[in-house]
Amino acid sequence: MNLSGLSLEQAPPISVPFRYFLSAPWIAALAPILLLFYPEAQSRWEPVVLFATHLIVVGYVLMIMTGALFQMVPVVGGVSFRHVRLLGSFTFVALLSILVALFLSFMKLEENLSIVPWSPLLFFPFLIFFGETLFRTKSSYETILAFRVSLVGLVLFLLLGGVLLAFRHLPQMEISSWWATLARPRGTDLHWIWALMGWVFPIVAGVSFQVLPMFFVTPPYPKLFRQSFPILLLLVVFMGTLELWFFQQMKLFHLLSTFLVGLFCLLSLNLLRQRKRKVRDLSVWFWRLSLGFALIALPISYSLDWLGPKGELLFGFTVLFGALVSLVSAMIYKIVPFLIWFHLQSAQMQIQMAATLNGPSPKPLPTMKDLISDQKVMIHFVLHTTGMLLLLLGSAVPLLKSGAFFVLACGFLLQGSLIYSAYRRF
Amino acid sequence: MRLLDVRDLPAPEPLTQILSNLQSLSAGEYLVVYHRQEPCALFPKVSSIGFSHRVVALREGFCEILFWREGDLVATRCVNGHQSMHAKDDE
Repeated sequence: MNLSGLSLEQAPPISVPFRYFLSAPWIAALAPILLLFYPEAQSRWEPVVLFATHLIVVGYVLMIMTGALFQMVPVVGGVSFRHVRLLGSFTFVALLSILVALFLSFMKLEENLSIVPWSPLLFFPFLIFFGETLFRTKSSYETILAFRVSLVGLVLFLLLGGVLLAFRHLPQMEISSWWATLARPRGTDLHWIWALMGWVFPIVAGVSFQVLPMFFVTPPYPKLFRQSFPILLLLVVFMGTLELWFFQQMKLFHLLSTFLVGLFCLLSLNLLRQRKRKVRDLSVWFWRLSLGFALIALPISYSLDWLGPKGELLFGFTVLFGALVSLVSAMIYKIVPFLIWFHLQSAQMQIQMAATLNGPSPKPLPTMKDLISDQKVMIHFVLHTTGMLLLLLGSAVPLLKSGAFFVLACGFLLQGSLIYSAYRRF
Repeated sequence: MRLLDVRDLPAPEPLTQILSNLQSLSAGEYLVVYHRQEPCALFPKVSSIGFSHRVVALREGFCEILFWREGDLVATRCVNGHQSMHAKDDE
């Protein structure tokens, strides 16, 4: 690995990733709160469901992943983002602006908002600098390959999002133009398959390649798997795009993505089973929960014709809250205390160097578990699991759904307060 | 020479163990660390507190690194003569 460009001074200030980590859970809490107030929403196409979905995907998953990338790319790739402070601030405001634009589009249903379709472009300065950083690195880690694949997915996901918004707000997007082929439902399907399989999954895989052995002392993912999996994901999404475009179906894509999701989940569960220190770790529980829900989502995805619109909602909730939120929580409960500890440790080393030999010895550093205690994470785990069970049962007994959304919202609020309390120690 | 194997420790324990061992390193002594990967974030830290490092073996799941105090001529000589038991595996 080339480390020539990496130094402590070049690592981003802790405030850069943490503004994303600190904000995301509070934004995500709005999604279940919103759904709580619209119990009549029964289809994925209802504006409130669409907005809640984007609160989770953009306000939580993209928000936290962007913060994590600011930190991970310099460590894994050995190169830093250029203009990291400015870029960090701009991108954060950009994400909030995109959320406001989505709110105006979905919840206000104003048709004369011609600026809204351009909002995804606000994220492109980050993508350009992210791409430039990935171009500069000489690192041969497969995580960098996965990040490169996810960059392609993220670009297409955002561009398709912009096109779909244009159909809502730009009257000149005539149905007779070639753009019409990107109108919903086909455009929406392309939008979410690029989001899920083209951006989220490669980045999750890339981060897992690093994080599982590092924090849980599991054996590494097999080298061939690490080298080929991100590329396979990209190929399958391209193939799915062509299949949808030319044959108006996604059967082959569905089959191949089922195989890839199943393979990743089973392999990851097996690696977690082989971890060398089998101590109680709530992060591992969240990880298993996420992989379990990803596996549960697979049979649901094959029953959508039979289950109807309710089945589509069930599939969406299982993927969003069950798989994605659990996975991001699993990562955040390791990454947040680790980063705070790492920065505290660096600060202490500088104090030690500056102090004379006879000076007072510095205060002992808090451990990662001191920063976010297992007991409190356990409460979030119980809330999240209960919320998910109620949500699954809510498909049969609608009354339970309100309870599910309430409990899930409490979980996000607790997570937000835990990250804030940990950050205050810095 | 002092040997430290941190392959089975979760983050951030490898970092704390290595730093703690470096602080107690006596004159002429060097530290041999067995790690499961190249600890990239550690290198700027150790150089900032006056230690040099050299990676002498690197392969899938294993990295051997030597650390010694900058300017410690005895330790530098020992490091130059260090024979890694794992270096051949890299060929």
